Amino acid sequence: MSKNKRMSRREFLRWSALAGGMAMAGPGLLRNAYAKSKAAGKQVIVIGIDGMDPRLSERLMDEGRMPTFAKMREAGGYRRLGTSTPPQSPVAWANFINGAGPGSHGIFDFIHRDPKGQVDVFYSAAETVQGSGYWQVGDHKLKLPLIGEGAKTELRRQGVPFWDYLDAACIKSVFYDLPSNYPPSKSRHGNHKCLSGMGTPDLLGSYGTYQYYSEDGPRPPYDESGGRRYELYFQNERARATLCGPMNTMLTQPEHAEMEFFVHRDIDARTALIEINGREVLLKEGQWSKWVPLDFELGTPWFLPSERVSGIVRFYLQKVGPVFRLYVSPVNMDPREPALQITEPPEFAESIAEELGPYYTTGFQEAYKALSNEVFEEDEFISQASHVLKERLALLDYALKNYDDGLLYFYFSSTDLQGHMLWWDSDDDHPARSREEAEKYFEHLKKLYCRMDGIVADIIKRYPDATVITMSDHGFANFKRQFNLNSWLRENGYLGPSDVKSVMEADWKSSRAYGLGINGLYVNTKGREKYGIVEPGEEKDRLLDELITKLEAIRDVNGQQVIRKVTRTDKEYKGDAMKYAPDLIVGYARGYRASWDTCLGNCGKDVLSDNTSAWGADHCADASEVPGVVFCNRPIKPDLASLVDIAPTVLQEFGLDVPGSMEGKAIV
Amino acid sequence: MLDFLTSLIAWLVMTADSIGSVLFGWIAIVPGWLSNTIIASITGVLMLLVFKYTSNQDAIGRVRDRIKANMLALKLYKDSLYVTFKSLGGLFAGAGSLLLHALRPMGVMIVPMVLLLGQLALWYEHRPLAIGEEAIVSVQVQETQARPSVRLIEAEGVEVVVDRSWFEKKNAYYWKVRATEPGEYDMLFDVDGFDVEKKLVVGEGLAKVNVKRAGWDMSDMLMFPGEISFAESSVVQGISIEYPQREGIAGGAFWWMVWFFGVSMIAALIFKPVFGVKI
Repeated sequence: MSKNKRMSRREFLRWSALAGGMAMAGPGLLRNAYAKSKAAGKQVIVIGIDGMDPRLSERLMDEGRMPTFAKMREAGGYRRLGTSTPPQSPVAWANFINGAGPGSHGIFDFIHRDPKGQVDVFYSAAETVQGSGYWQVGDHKLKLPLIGEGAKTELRRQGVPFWDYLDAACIKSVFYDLPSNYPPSKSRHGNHKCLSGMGTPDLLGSYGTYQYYSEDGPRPPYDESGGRRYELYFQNERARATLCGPMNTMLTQPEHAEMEFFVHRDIDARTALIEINGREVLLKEGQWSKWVPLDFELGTPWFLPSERVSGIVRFYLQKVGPVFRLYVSPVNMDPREPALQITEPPEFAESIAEELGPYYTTGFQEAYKALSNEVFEEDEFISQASHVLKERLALLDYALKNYDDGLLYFYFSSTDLQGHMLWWDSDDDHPARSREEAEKYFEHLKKLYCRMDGIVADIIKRYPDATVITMSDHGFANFKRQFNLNSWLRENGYLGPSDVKSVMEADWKSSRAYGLGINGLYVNTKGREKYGIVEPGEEKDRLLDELITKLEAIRDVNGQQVIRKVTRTDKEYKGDAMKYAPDLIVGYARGYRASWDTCLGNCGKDVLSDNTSAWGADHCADASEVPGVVFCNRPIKPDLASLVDIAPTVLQEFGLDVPGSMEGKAIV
Repeated sequence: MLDFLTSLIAWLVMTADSIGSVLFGWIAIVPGWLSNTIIASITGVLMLLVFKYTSNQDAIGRVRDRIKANMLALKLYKDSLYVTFKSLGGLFAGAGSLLLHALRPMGVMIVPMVLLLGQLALWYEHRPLAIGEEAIVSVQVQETQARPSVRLIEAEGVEVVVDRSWFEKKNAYYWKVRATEPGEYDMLFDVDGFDVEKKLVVGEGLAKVNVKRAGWDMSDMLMFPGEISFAESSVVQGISIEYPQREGIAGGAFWWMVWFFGVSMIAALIFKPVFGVKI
């Protein structure tokens, strides 16, 4: 044996210790090591296109307008993708995350109710937990060091997200704008990065509150859904205004911090100058500003230095005269100094901003509320949405530049939020627009789909060896008619008294069922609800069957079926996270959806009415009506694919076993 | 008196800018942290020498000896309350005395230091406009009864994004421009038939950037010394370009000065024994 091949005593001991350690760590470690070696250099890219509809996609592919997707379809890499029940984005993306249905992750709607308080409503995906250990000083409460815990926001989604398995196997994963993951879940092994998407609040703690200043605005300021309006009064062409900022939770009676600013205008030049936070912003009529950083000062007791919270806004000068109008975007968290954790690891937000500058951090980025509330017209909404897409494409470029191997996930919201406002089932009348207008704006949406095709083509070109999966969480349908579930329950004697206006004021001694959220129907169950009256077991079963039969039999004035299918969750869902599950999921037929009143538990005047909102399309129907899409640059198995199949597919691509908690199976 | 003082400062600033242009031209070709370090080190040594020759070194030496004696007394007689308090009093008196001895050197150095800092701020505080970047340009006018007519005649290197706007309460005209070509230019304005200029810099790296061409105002003259200020009688009382702040440990509004004073103090402390200076 030559000298250099001989094993020294030190080397022998080192190898023995390593082998012993591997044996003691068990087969799990070995399996991970095997998976890691198999996955080394492997690239999987998942592009999440929210709301991409199969019918429209197929039409555009047939017309030759989406050549990349058409090519994948020809190669067997396209299927309609089964969505979640109900097909709401937070539910659907949680299905994608867990590879399993709502029974595993516990998200059944945008909002839930706590039966202990009968109908205490809360946001389903995240919860802010009040802190403890405070010292009251005048109007302030101060957190005592080392005692109690500070207030924090917790992720409510349950179960194990599929990236945890990648993380444990030392396979890198990075997610940009992932829905249903705020605050971002922790990475145990440091191989996972995530920027939270839908569900991330703005600095006011809402899901996007614009502020709107006009000379004919209300006095005092008026709050509307997703916005706040102010009156602006000019003196010598200058007006003083205030901008509402973050909540000062250090006060015993928390209130929003405010920032004063001035607006100067030149009517002849059609321009305005905004003086805010030591900065000047000069805008022409119809022009958007860049991101403007703002430091909100939170009042503290006199003996403490004042605290500051950083935010960013964009101004849009709508009109200089005759009536001055100024739109201010929701106050987003400044990613260079986020007030709350929006990324995992926390410094990820800042490292993106270092290269790209400030960017949208709220979950909902397109200004759909401004269009719904008639602050914007369609073209203004499209212009704002185009800014969002431009920013997203810069982020995608950053993501691709910084990607070597492992999993890369990137999310586009444009198709969903623009879909809600601009969609049109063109074989039908549009609920709120003339045919010409509907056609014009629907063409914009079609172009957006075609743009997605180009984006995916570019990704495949840049990463020819990667498995590229493009998928959507659901499709789209016209929202022409709204069904008021609570009004129907009231009229049919399930919800009382006969003049009840909201489930918040129902007579629970005589109420057997109520609706909350977009698709949820709850039975007032004894032992579960605070004032429950329906006995669980046979009585409840009978009631559920009765409700299903009656709801599915409802016909509109033209004889059209309103509700396609009502699903019993105890028979449909599997898993341990059923605490807040509704008893029934109401799945609407195409063209129908729950009324705006129903979502918040209110009873409208009519059971069925026209939807006159600019929000003219939706997907919160029956799951069979609005499937999503899945495209892959590898052939997809011919079985019906579903959202829960994507996570197992990704794990299999990296050579990992599909855990028993997942309901789906690999499709590639 | 105020007019004389303003005129004097205008002359000093102009002279300092002429000297600064010759002395600091090399800053453009070396990294910012390096030029800042070199200038700060030299300044530290020069300040030390100025201190040596303008202060009463013998008296400072005596005060230092007294301070040492008091500290020794504090250590030796810590059981004696009387000595402790007396020594503490002596220490405070010594510190006050040192401060008084520093007044004369400070008086000598304050003017050149302010002028030097003004010149360095032109390099380190702001950066030129990058290609594609937008900036607000404003022309501040005298508060006269008749609003003067101001037009932007020539703006090479930039394109106008938002044309002239008049904001009454600000008493100023505003434009927004976007940088297109790198270089140093003169923006030309027509003010009631007279031509008025303001320097504009577009490009990358370190360049001398004057945010505002000052009016007849002492503090503005000292803060923005890169161009000749407007006369008291001028209709225009300031032209500003909103340049972005420079970033980095030796740049930006604040950090370049922290770096500068930190390095100059270290340099002074290092060279103190070499030149035998008592501080």
